[in-house]
Formats: sequence, structure tokens, C-alpha cells
Amino acid sequence: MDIRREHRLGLTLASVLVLIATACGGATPSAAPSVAGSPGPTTAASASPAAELNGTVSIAFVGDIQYWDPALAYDTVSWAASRLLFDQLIHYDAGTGLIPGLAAEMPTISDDGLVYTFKLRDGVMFHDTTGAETGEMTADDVVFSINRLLRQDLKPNPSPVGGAFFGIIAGADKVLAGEAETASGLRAVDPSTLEIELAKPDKRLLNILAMGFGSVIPKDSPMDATEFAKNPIGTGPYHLSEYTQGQRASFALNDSYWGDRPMNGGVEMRVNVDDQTQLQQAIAGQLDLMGDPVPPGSFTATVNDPTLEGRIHRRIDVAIFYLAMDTSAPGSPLSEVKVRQAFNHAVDKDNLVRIANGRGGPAHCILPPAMPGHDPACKPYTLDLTKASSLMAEAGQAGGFSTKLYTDTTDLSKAWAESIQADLAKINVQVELVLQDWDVLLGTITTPHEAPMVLIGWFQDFPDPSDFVDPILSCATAVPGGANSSWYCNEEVDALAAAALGEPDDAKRIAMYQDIQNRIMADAPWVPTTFSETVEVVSARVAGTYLHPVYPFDLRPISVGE
Amino acid sequence: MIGYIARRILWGITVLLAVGSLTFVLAYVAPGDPARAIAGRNASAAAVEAIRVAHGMDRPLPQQMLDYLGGLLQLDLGTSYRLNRPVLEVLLERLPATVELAVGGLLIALLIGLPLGMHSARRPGGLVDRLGIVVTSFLVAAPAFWVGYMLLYALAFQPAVRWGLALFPIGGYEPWDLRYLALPALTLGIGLAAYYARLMRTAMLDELHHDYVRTARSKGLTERRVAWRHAFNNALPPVLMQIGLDLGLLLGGVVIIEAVFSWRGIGRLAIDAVTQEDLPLLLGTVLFATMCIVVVNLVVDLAVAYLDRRITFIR
Repeated sequence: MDIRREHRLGLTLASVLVLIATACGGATPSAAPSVAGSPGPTTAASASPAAELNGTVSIAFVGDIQYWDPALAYDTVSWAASRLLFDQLIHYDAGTGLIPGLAAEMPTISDDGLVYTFKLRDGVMFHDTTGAETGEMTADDVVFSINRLLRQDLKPNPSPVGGAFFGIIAGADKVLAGEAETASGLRAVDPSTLEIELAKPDKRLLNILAMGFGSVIPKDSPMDATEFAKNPIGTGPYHLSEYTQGQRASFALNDSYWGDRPMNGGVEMRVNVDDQTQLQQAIAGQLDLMGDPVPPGSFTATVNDPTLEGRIHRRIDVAIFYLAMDTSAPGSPLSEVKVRQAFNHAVDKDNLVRIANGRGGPAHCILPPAMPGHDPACKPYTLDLTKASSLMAEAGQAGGFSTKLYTDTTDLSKAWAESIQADLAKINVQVELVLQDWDVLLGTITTPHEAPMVLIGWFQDFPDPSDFVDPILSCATAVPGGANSSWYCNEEVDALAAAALGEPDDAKRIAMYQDIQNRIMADAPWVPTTFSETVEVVSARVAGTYLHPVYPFDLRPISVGE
Repeated sequence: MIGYIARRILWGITVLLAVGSLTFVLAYVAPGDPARAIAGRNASAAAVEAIRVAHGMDRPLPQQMLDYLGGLLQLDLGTSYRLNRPVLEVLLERLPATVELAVGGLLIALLIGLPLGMHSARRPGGLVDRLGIVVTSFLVAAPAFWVGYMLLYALAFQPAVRWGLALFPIGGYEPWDLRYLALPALTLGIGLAAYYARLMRTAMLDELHHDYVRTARSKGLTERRVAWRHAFNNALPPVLMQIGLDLGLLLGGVVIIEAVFSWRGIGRLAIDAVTQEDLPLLLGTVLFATMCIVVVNLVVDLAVAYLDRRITFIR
């Protein structure tokens, strides 16, 4: 996914989706209940709630909760709220391992990899905004929720990415085309059994079901997101007890929640709070958790403040920033692979990390750390100006050329772009920088051959390596409106990626993605630049970690003193 | 007078339609695609198109504009792309916070500015006058966001961190809670106070040179009585006029201060509208600000005419 960059004048959403440096062993589904840890309904906390478990956790965001409807929510603030109200069939454990959520166990998968059969948990209740139970979840609710993502009559508009993710289900194309209301591949066999049939084998299904979009809502929910927002009903551990749009949302516990009791007594989410204000509030103890990163201007002073020891939380994001080069513009020097390889040898990535106050690290390949398939040894291009110059000469560009680099208007992007500009000048390439507001840039980079080069980032949708290939480096997305900013299309790579999607053997699948990564890097459509890191400050009374590797924020395990 | 008011209202509607048309054109021809902004980067072209159709963005621009202006005449400011609620409803919801800040800020400005201006005028070149000029020049030059952050840091953050004193909350909004209002209103007020001090000083200096003041002095009245009972009333009209203009401006939203203090007003809404490319909401905030200025100007003109009977309504 792409989330707008956190530094935009301190006005935009934070970056998120992340990662801890944990292994990703359980990231792919298995055929039977080989579960990383099945959450049961009891914990020590729920058996005898300690006093500190009743405190209310406060978190603040620069942005607002844009959608309460999980079919439309596609920003970090809305996701943080969704995570409190809703559950999905599949959840993540504390790392990137998949575990059953509303499913009683991991699904069984047919031999051909097409049909997934889920047994649902019994006694899972929906709760409304008063905390009252409104009914028991059944397979029909799951079928309705997924169909709703695909339907074009959802108001005020259809889900922007329903098709991109859930289009893999058999018959989803008919719903997306408005020819049917339900996908033939979604079947409620009985109230507690669900079958999902895919159009073709695709190992991403469980990751997709674990996204916020996979949230289960009651089958009688309105087809109007605005109506739904008036009384969002879910199976999550909290209900929305109070909401003042543009200011604050309060969440109270549901006593009859099916899973582990959260480690706190409730959540207060404040919105439209400036990031500098968040920082001061957190340090002064008036706010427990920052929803946005420490502002760049205060970064050094904050991380070096001895009084904040133990209160600074860090997370390496499962994300990559890269310089995308237009590989297919007719007559452009950038369509010559040796030129793009030369650029890879010319850009000083360590300097880019220094510019970011040392946050994150240099990126040398496509798959970021903590993403299954990340290969620390993958380093095809080193900083080598001699090599870069000789490659330019081999490409007949020893004298260099002029080109343009587009990026957004944040200070960090501008500083990075200037550093790259200086690096490329050393191999006689004159780069003109074009800074555009994010929304304008979005239009530029989705228009073919409008931007010769763009410096941009990509954050994971889910921890599966396909998410760093199919949406941004495939032929299918090198089309007008697509997210493939380098207009890179290699049919061999596409064929390998298609095969990898359905490969049942996890180890083999990872090896396939590493092969794909190596092939793409040989074609050099990008100069991978940096991995990013989120750094936030918490109040002194916070215990627990809320920067989850996949969920933008996980407030369930956070406890605070009274 | 009724005819005068009717003409002013008609003129106000014309201004609103003109501003509406201009803003509409500027907003819609500016680069950027609201449908793409809603959909995000990895939505397909078809998904973006579906969003465009759902929000009526696929209609020809002239038709969209005519529909918008037609709605405007019926007090329909359209529906927000993001909130999917009537823009007018959202604006009215945010209005109380902005009114609170505007009134609080103006009160502080007057409480500081008027006495300072009076004092400076009565002793031009004196210590208060010279010091006042230096301080007010500084405050006029200081950007509101800087003053706001400094006040937050010095009066809210430091006492909380150093002594555990929660004197003021660090940003936020609670309706009519003076602890929340104090710092944003002070930020707004001290910036405006500088203008009012200068305005009052000039108006008073002007009045103090009039014959009636000399007459009053010759009757043996104290200087304080001359200034406050006689000259002050006559120096008020330009100040009232300025209060009206400022109130009109401030009701349209105090963008920077609302952002710094996380104040849930119309200014903050305008920022969200811009960053989210929510064009109906953006147009709504601009038109609402325009309407505030038009209405408050009319009210001020009538009030000044009432105070100063020498002013007549020109046909």
C-alpha cells in the first residue's frame, strides 16, 4: 500500500505498517491447525483484572478517522479505530505469524489450492455502540461482509481496493462488474462453516482476509457507509462509546468479547492533534501514545533526552523508499539498462540515512527487512563512481544528459532528492527537481512517462513478498492509473510472480521471490534508497508495545497506570 | 434604511456567488485528482473511475458549477467527499469552537490594546508609548504559530514537566472550558492587541487635538475625565469598524492557531479540506468565511451609523 509520507508539514497521516525485527516463520498458511498460538478466551488478566488494567489509554493523531466502515477505511487512523471494533477471520500474532481470529482454527485447503474451508468460532457476539449484544456472528455475516467490499452500490462510493484484494475469489469479477450481488466462490455451508473458492490458487488469501478490509460486520448492515458510521457494529473487544467528529473517539470494553481481554480499561483516541503537540503531551504525561512519529525538527533532542530513557519506541517499517526510473519511455536514456545500473552505483545511500537522522537503513534490494524473502546478502550494486561512469560510457552516455526527478514537498523528500541530484551530477547527469504536493504527485506518477524519475515509498499491505512485486512492478500495473512508477514490464518476471502466488511450498515460494527480486534488480527499474523507521514517545505510565509489525497500532496489549 | 439593508443583502449575495464561482474554478482547475486522492495509489483506474462517478465528479465542469451555484442559492453547500455529510451541517458543528476562539481572542486584544493605546496617546513619547511601540512592533511581526508554540512551551509544557503542574492543557478543545481557551485566545489576542493599541493611539491623538477637548480642559476637567468621558467615545468608531472586520475574518476560521492548538474549529476543517482534496468542504469553508465578512460588515456599518448620527445612509 502507499501511505502518504508522515512529514508533510506535520499535517498528514503518519507512516505505519511496520515491522519489528522478528522472523516471519508463520507468515504463510498451512493446511491444518499448525497454529502459532490460538487465542483462547481466558488470560490471567481476564481472570483477575489488576488495577492497572482498568486505565484508559490515550492516543492522538494528526489526521482524523476518515471512515468507520471497514470496507472503505484505508488510512492508519481509521485502521487503528477498526482494530478496536472489528475482528477478521484471521489475525496476526505479536509478530507476522497468522493465527485464527474469528475462525476457530486455520482453514483446511483443498489439494488443488482453490477451496479454503473455515470453521468459525461459536458464541462470537456483535456489539453496538452501547455495548449491547446485537446477535451472534455466523458464516452468512462473513459472506455478506466480503461481498459488500466488492459491490459497486456501496455508498458513498465502492471500496477503492476491494477488487484489488478480494478480486481473487471465484465470481468476484461478476460482483465487481455489477452483474451479481454475491460471488459464487463465497459459500456459507452452515452457520459455522464457510467455504471460499478462489479463481486460481493464491497464497495471499489469508493475508488478505487478515487486513482491515476483511472485518466481519452483521449481514443486515446498511450499504451506506455514512449510515454504518452512525452505529458501527463489530465483534471486536471494544465498542465505540462516544465520538465527536474531528475531536475525539472513546472506546469501552465489551464484557462478553470472545477473545483475550485487552490489557487496559478503554481507549481514548484524539484526532487532529498536531505532531509537535503530541510530543509535548506525551513527554508531559498528558497523552499516552503518539499516533504520529516524533517530528523531524525535534528528533535529535528527543532521542538524546536522558529523561526519556525507556519511553522511546522504535519500529523498522516494512517499507521501502526508492528512486523509480521510467524504463520504457521511448527515446529516453533511462530506458537503457546500463544507465539505470550506473545510477544504482552512483547514489550514496548512507548519506540518505544520515539525512534522515539515522532512522532506518540503506536499501539495496526490493524486499525490506522482516518481509519474508528479505535477503541481507542481496546487494547487487555498491557505491562505485568509477563503475557508474564506465557503465554510462558503455551506454554511450559518458557526457551525461538532463532529466527530471519528481518527489513530494516534505522537507525530507526534498533533502533526499537534493542528495541524489548531487550524486548523479558526479556522472554528468543534470537533474532538475520537481516537488509536488502528494495528491498532485499521485496524478503525475500514474500518468505514463510523465515523470522520468520519482522518489517515493511503498509500505506493505501485508507481510507477503508478493505485495512488493505485483502491485508496483508487474506488467498489469504498468498501465495508466497503475502504481508501477517505473513502467517496468518483464513478462518473464510476471510469469514467475504468477507461479509464486500459487506455490504451496512456503520455502520454495520464498526462494521464487528471491529469484524474482534478483531478476528485477538486474533490470534495475529502481535505485532502492532507504528503509524507514518509526520513532515515537510514550508517557511514563505505559507498559507494553503498540507498534505492531503489521497492524499500524495495536492497543489491545497496552496497559497504563490509573 | 430598509432599502439600504435590502441593497446590501443583494450585494452580499452577488459577492458570495462571485467568490463561489471563482473559488470553484480555482479549486477544480488546480492540479490533483480528488477521486485518486480518495482511492489511494494502488486502486485501479476502474476503481478510481467508480469513485469519480459516485461523487458526481464525472459531470462536465460547467454543469458541476451550475449545480453548485444553484444549490448555493438554496443554502446547500454540497456534500463533503470525505465526511459524506452536508457541508453546511459540518460547518455549523464547528462554528461554536471558532466563535469561542474569535470572541476570546478579541476580548484579550481589546483588554490589552485599548488601555495601551489610550495611555500612549495621552503621553506621546513617554515611556509607555515608546515601550509600547517596540513591544507591539515585535508582536505584529511575530508569526502566530511561533507565539503559540512559545506559550504552549512556557505556560503548559514546562510547568507540567518540571513541577508536575497542569496549569493549561497542551492543546485540545473542550467547549467553553477556559483552561483550554486561554492559550489559543492569548495567542490570537496579543497579535491583535498590537493593532488595536496602534489604532487607538492614532484615533485618540486625533481626537485630543479637537476644539471640544480644549473646551473640556478649559472647564477644569481632569485629564483622565477628558480622555475617557469625551475623547474616548469619539475615537471609538474606527475601532468598532476594525472589531467588525476582525470578527468577520476570525469567524471564517483561525487556521494557524487552530492547527497549533488542535482546536476543533472551522480553520482546522479548512486544513483538512485542503490536504484531503475535499473540494466541496474547501469551497464551503471559503464561502462561509466570505459570508461572515459580508454579514459582519453590514452589522458594523449599521452599528457605527447608530453611534455616530452624522453618518447617513446614502441611496
